[in-house]
Amino acid sequence: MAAMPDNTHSTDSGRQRTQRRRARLFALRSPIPHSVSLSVTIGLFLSLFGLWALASYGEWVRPVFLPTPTGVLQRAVTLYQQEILVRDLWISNVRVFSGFLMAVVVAIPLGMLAGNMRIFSAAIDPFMGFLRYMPVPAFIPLLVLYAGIDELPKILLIFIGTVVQMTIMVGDVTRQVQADLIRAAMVLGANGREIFRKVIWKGSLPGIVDTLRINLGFAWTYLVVAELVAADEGMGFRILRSQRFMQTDTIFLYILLIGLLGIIFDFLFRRFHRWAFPWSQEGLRK
Amino acid sequence: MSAFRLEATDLTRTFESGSQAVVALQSMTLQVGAAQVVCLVGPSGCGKSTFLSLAAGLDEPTQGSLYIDGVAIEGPGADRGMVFQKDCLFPWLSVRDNVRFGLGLLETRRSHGASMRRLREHCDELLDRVGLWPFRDSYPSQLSGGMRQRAGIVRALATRPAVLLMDEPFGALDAQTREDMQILLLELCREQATTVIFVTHDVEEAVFLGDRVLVMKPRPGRVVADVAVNLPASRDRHTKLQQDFQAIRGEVLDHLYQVMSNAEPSG
Repeated sequence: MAAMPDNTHSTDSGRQRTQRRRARLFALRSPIPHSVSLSVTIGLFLSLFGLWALASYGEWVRPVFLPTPTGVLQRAVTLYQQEILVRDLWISNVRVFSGFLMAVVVAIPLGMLAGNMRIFSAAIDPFMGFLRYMPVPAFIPLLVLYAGIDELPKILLIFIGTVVQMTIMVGDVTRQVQADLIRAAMVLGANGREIFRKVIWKGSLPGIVDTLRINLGFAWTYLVVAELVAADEGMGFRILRSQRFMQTDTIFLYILLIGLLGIIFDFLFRRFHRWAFPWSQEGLRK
Repeated sequence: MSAFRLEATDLTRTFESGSQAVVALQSMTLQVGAAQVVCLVGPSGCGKSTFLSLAAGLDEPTQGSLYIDGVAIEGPGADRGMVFQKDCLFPWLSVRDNVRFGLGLLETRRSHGASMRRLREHCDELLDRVGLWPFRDSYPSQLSGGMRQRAGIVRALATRPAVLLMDEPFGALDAQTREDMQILLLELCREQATTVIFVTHDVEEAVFLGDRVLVMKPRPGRVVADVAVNLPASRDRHTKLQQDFQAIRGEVLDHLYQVMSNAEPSG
């Protein structure tokens, strides 16, 4: 019914029209007005924040369990003045991005090979399936044993946490480059290397960038685990230590900051995607 | 030395499926002269697409050979262009870069600057010729189906191939666009003296485009009739209304119905 032109309902009452417009907002896979979409997004954040404010200022919950928004803000200022906040942010970003970039460097070639040459897929796919179910924190004792307690084991943990999933996803992305395009390139005289470079690589790049965006999220989720390893600074470390001193405001602050960083990086990745691949702006994953 | 542009002798292709061997194409012999348009019609599985793959060099025959100007085909080459049912343009390249894709590959192999420049100009001329010059910097996704298919044809003709292989290229287009494309194709191929092998399901299209129409039958795939289309070389919309045209179309249809009725019982 949503597809019917509006002029056939010119005799309808205003109420019926409102009802229909409301129904259209819930139609399957149909566009909704941008204003509605934006207000839903912002509305959710605001109502959650409102709930938090109510519960904390109204002292529904004891402050030691739920700090107030101003309490969290004050803590942020204090930590900033003590030069802890920036330092924690910096070191955690360095760890996350080092581990993530190591994973990128390994996963893209492995995924490309697994996705396009059967001999590599025979080696890589079952092996990744084997690694995939292993619990990443279980590697901590080995990492400490092999790599000591400096930066390396923390970075390696984030690497281990992301590389497997990333390889599998990159493999899937390159496999999705249509066989028709490969055939077209062959007929135009392209050899194997040229097909790999000019068709498969070019065709899967947008999907690879999107895969990286998703995996950066996974990398951040491993940060707290990574900073279990003999850390004395960093966002994950600060969260763990604050539990011992019942500093819930610090925990809230750092969890929210990680979420904020996530939104920012996600936004930057999407922007880059739209700028770099104007030809491919459909079917982006969430 | 063979006098034919494209020649197939005893061309056979069988596929193993489990313990059974399926004969996709059986002892096909065919001679096509320069600048001739040959259309292949027939039900699914009659080997017409198999023939195109062999001619394109994407597949190898089980037996027999294919020659272009007397030289056996070994893999794809710049002497043949192919247009697919789906346009198969590279979505990340502009129309112009798509059309020049084959040239770019040639350039990395040989170093003949002068003729390369000539070919590049030829590309631009063709784009202009099919009305795509204003859209040369657009991505394929920004074009209509007919425009994409025109770009596909230009891409296939860019390296000045002797033979153009077409696999139901207009099947997905609406009737009006389809007719425009048929006329455009005939004009382009006459200008370039290109030999065309055209696979289609549409008998009217086959008679309109072809100098010959080959009717094929499945299981095993082979040619059962070679109908000469004795119509004037210059054809337009009115050609399809002429009695001669309808008579030839009727003849091809008769062959096709016979193929269908023979094919059915054996299942």
